[in-house]
Amino acid sequence: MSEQTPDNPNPGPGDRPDDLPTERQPEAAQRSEHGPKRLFRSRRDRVWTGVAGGLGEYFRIDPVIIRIAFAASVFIGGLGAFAYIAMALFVPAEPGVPGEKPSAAADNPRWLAWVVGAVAIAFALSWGFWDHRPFHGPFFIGPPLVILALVAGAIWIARGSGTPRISGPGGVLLRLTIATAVFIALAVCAVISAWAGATGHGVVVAVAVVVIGLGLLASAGRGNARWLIVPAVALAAPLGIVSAANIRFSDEIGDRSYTPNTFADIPADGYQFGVGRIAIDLRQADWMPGSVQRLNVDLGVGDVFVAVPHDVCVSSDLDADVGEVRVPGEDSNGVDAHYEANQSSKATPRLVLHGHVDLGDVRVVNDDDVSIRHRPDDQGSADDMRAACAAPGDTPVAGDGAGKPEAPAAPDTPQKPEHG
Amino acid sequence: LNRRFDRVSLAAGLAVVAMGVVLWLDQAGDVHLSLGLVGALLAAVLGLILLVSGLDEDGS
Repeated sequence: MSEQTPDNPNPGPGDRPDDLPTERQPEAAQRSEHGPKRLFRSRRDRVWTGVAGGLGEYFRIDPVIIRIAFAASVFIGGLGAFAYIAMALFVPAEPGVPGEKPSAAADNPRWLAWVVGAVAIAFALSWGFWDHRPFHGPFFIGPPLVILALVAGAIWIARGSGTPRISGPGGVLLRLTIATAVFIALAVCAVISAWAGATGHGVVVAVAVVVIGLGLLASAGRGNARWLIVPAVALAAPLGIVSAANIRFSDEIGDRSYTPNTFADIPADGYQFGVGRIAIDLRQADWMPGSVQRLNVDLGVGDVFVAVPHDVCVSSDLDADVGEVRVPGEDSNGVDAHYEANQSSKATPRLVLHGHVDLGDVRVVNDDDVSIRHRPDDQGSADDMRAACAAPGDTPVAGDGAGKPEAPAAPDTPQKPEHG
Repeated sequence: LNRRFDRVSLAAGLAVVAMGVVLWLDQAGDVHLSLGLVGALLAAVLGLILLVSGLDEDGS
């Protein structure tokens, strides 16, 4: 199905690729007789960038079907939308027929840049309006789609910064080599940035980002240094993530398992860890009727697993900046995953758990047999948790970690109705 | 201005400098960035660059 395009304002049946006379056949089709068949973005059968038209010509199927598939894919994860953007950016436009006026829209899908840019800015602005949860609200179109589209856009901008195009018999291999080298260089930049941030030298990286920005400003008169955007992002993003995740390599790294037999074995300030896994098994602790224990756990990156006997109520306040929070019968995941439950319960024995992880999972297990040395698949019973938290009690919270009764502690967060 | 300066480089330079300053302040302890804020900051910077690039008629 041909459509009206800037190049072809009066489309008709004769404009279909298969209907074209021999002298109007696109160069791609002519080339296919002598070489490998190549995929181009169509110049004539185009709604936006000619991706669907090009695929239709390549596979000899109706482009409308491809357009419908692309549109439908937006609602099933967005992978097709990203594929469309990637193809629009990286699949070359169909070479023009000699004498034909080139189409700027086909050669340079500029509209994609501002559409993706506008979506990205909307996404950024949405952060402030939706409970500080950037992937929620009406702008939610799938985090992977947004991130990958931004990366693709950045690459496209860098590609348009005057980098000489390489062609010829060895061009593909040379381009592949250069692309690999660039990728490795960017990965090294990212690792150095992350390492510097985690070892307390992030200021150096931040200054380097500022210097790169000044370099961009200084080169604005020449207009050929847009490639500096890519290393700037490669340096800034890891530093920001490491800093926000509070990752410090001076902290311990690895896996730790704790099995306190008494509440006195639990540190007064709980457990803090940098990167890895913390497994805290409280099933051997001296739980007694009337005992209430407070436990704080703070992890940078990794997993927190906490196990209690099936008859212990867990009054929880758990959150993960990015990751998942799971307690028996409940699951919260994504960005700023948060879960509060049983905070008004007076049942005993009771664990008052405050858990935080910047990047990773927090899981509470109330099964008496499940191992938590590895990621537990079975977390226990939600019914047991409800039953354990149902009984009334009035024992104060032991806030010093030593199991000593003290005055009831004010809750750190506003009381909320019990979940699940 | 259009012919003498590349608007994309200009916008990108300003955005990158701003991002670097925010990171600098974060490293100095004057502000505290959350992961969500970092994501929003990166999206805003790249979004601004892409937007200016898309609207740039010269297209250099």
